Amino acid sequence: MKGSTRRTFVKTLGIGAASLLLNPARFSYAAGQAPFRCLIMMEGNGLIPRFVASNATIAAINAAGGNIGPNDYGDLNNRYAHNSVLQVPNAGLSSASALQSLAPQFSGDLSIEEDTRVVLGLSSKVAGGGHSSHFGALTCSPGAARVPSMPSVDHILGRIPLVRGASPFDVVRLGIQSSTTTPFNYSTCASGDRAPVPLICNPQIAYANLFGSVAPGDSANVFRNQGKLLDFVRADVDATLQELNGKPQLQNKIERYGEAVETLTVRHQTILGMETQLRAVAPDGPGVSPLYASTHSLDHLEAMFDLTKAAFLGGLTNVAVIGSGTGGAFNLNYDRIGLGQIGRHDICHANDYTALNAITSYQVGLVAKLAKDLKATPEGSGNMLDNTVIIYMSDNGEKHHSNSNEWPMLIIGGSNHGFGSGNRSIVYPRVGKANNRQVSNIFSTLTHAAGSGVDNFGNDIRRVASGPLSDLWSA
Amino acid sequence: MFRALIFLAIVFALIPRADAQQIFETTFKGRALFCAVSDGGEVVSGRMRKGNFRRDVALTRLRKKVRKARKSGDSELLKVVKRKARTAKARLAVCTREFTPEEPIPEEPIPEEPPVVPPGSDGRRGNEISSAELFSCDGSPQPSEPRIRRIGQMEWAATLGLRGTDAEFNPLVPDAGSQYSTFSDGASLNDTVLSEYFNYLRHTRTGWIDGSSSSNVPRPPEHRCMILPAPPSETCIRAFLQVYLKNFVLFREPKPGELDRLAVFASEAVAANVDRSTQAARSAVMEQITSAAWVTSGALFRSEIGQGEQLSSGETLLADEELGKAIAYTFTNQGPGAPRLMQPARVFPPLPRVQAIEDAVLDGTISVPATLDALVAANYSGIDELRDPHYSEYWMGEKIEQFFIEWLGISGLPTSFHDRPSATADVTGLVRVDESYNHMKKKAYYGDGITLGEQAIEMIARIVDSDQDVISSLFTSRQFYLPSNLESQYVQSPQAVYGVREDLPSNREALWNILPANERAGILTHPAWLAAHADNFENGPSAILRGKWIRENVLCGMVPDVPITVDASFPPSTSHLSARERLQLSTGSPSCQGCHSLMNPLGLPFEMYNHAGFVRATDHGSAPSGESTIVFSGDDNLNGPVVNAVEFSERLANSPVVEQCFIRQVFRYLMGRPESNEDACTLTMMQNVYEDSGGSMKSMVQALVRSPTFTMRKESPAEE
Repeated sequence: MKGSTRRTFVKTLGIGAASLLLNPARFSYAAGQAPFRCLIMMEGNGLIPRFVASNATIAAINAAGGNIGPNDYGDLNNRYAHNSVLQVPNAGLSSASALQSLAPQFSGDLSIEEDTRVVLGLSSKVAGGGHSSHFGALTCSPGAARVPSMPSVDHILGRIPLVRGASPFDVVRLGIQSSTTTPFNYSTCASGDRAPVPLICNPQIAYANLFGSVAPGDSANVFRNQGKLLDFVRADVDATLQELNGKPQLQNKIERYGEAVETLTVRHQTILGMETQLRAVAPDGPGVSPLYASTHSLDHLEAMFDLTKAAFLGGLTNVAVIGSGTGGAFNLNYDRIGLGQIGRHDICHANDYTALNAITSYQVGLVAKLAKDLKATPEGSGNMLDNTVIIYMSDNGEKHHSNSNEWPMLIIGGSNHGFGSGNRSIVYPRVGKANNRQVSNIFSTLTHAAGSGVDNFGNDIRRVASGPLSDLWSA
Repeated sequence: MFRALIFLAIVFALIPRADAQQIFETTFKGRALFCAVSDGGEVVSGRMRKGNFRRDVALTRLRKKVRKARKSGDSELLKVVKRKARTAKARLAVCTREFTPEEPIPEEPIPEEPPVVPPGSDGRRGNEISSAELFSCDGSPQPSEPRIRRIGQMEWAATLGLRGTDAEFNPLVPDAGSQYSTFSDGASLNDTVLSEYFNYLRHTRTGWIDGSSSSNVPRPPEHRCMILPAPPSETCIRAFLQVYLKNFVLFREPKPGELDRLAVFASEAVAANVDRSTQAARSAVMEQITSAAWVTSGALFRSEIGQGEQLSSGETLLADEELGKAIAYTFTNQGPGAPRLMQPARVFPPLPRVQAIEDAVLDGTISVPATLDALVAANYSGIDELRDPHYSEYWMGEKIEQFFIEWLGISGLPTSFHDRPSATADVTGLVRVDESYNHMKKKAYYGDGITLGEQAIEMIARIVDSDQDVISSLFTSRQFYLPSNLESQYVQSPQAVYGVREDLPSNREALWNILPANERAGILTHPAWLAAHADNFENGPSAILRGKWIRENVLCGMVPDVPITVDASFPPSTSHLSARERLQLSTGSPSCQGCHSLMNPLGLPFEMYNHAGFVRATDHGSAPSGESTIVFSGDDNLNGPVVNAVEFSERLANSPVVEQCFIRQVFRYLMGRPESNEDACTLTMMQNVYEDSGGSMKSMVQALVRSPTFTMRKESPAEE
């Protein structure tokens, strides 16, 4: 048996030792080095640009020759006339119909308006359109359901050592979809060509994975049993390698399996070593919080936000994705926020923009609450939001049957990583113009901010320009 | 080189007139010197000119002349002939010095059949090798390399009896870059996959957690004692695990170590959960035990090492258990002897055919060629009048069906997007055409109706089961299986995409249709393929997508990647520009044509259809056109102008290049790897069988399975 150093290390690693050696990322960066976190929140089936365009933004677009009327909700970018990027400082973002939650909502509540930038005019034709671009949204490559061709941006960020630090999970991917009983969504994230990685859409599974080590009841059992399984499979792998002794080319696959087991074992041990800090941040889980037993998708979504926030606070991960009806599973019921039993598909076909705005406003509210909680948490000389970039975007572009001409985005936080001032709109010229920019440029910007720049992100045969968006850094 | 050729010509001209048996060339004072060697290996002459060499021409005659001049007293003559004699002697000395006698060649017995050495593998695989190179072997198929194969995504779900559930979306996907889901060269589990796999292990308990029969998983008697309130004994645990591992996980006898380790794990799990008063508590224990079984390397990887008889040449046969699993997973998604699990409606015929594989392993007949033929035939295709009446009477084995789905690239149809599907088609008088089309792509919206992709599969199943001139028929058949328009309120005109306006009742007689000869011919004119390889918009670059697919999957050629410096873009969409015109504007320049000449001409014939597969009635103010000039196909009979996709398909059907490429695709999918030069003789054999059998794909597949490439493995290299 070819025992590896790492395996031996894991076998002999005590919980206390893990606690010392594999501290969570938030506390393990070199002095002066700010941790980098990223959350991508995706609204499935379209984010209508008008909902995030503030009054000042629309006025600036129209002043630059645009023609946006009071009731224009369709292809907003068709009405852009400017030929170079339009910066709108002091944009009064919370005046946008779906962005009111950026402002304080009650006495003592924080504002994140000045931490937020709204980016309009980005295209991503390569992702395809329709109800969903599936993997195309986060990979900037041609995407079809369950057949990604590239790794998604979350995977790339999670694999950057400076981003990962010593956090046990490279990426935490959570979500909800139209079926509350289907536990995984395999149409949004990918670790490579033909390698979809699911969003966990069952909050109980998500809770057990993240906080099972400090949870009572079933969640604890799930976590503990996984540890036993890892011990069992290590012995099995060792025995198989012995049987194949002398045939290295046949051992190779089993060795790789063994390495995966080792990696998960390290993760398991690391989480066990984080008991104190995880107990401090773990949200109420199944059996305590009613969100987990609920049959309403939106309750599950709120549970996923709780878990993501706690995962950041506890140092379980530095990269997260939350999807809401992404990958075509968008026909959610919004009865919980007063929209009745009608599904999103019919809401869209009814052109009920009031309802759609309410949906976006609700989701932005969840994002804003998380951002405000991070802002309220000191870190270094600032707060956690300064070190966290939150992107709110859709998974197909600008509308129900999108043409991928425009992908409006909110970019919140990240001031310690070069993102310039907030309460600002950045409006790029419409698709087809020379200075139009693409979603791939945003993801390129993210990788540069994370310290490992990718200039040509994705596989865009219609790439307009390489590299990050300097317009986001400036001002 | 030129001088050498001249010399050879001279030598060959001389040989018939020369007494010497050997003549070679050297140099004397900077000039060519021709030396003659006798039969006995003696250098007999050296001359500065070509000519008729004789033993005594040079020196013997000159010596006579010297003697004659001495007698005559002619001092001048003596001087001349002496000089000539010295020169001749010097030439002879040079020839003698330069002559190297050849080693005698020992006589070898003439073998009865010349040994065949197949081309060695040079690292190239798949489309990197031309068909002309691969189909030139006249030798025998060779064994494959020993290998270990990880279980696939569908194989895992189906073996658990969970087709049609979210277990199908487990993370056991093929490795990056694999053309087919069966490819296993690099497939293992990384930490991302394993992490997600743990989430799926909850499926392994299905049917094993209680005593109910609702799961359709028939449980053996040994299971009973595991789920009673009383803790199971060690004897019970071992008896259960023996049956569970053998019949539901490994599909072979568990090795002692495998059984022992799992028994220890199970005993500890039972001991750690003393409260067995509720079914939930007992189920939790069973979940741990079944999960442990499914993380073993024996469950996740299967051997094709060649653990059977070793031949004198060092090669080994697959052991019967290896061969049984290879057959089972090549033609089905389940292990041999796994008929006990439930099956969905679309797996035909009922699964006892998989049981037959295990039976053949147990009775030792699995390696008999006739048995292999029978097992392939049983899992290949057939007719079943009792099938779900929405489908045709023809069925294909699930991996044969999956081969066509993957080869044709139609699996993504349900989530593909087509803007205004009927754009440019004539659908006047029909209602909800676009809505019907979009719903027809997805099972969810169509109830029990047959989806667009399934319609293509039904058409292929009939051709495959007829088993005559299969490849040619695939590209020319006009017999299509259409959808009924009387099934669903949402899908009122699904037949419109085929240009059919009449109502189609939901019965097979009505649904089999011969489509017009000027509109459809074969699978590449089927709306499913057309829509799967199309842009989202009718005036988009579908021709590039379709042409590239044909280049790579029908001609087995290659198209270079888009250079990073190329800013590929399509001109803006306008009402007066057709897709063909936009394509010309976008890719017409010589710098683009370097690559696009490999794609566009192959895709342009299909511009007679729109992006969704409707026949165009008009095309932006002009008559629709499928005209193209085929180039670089590798077949002179395929090159040249074609008027439309129908003519192009008919030409494809008659091309040996297309036939060879299809055989290569079948080989890749069934062998689970791309072909290399070492497979040349196997591929040539497959083509010979196909042609000798009148175009029987089944005979070709049976020949592959009987061949050493499938049943035999090379000697494992020793550890370095």
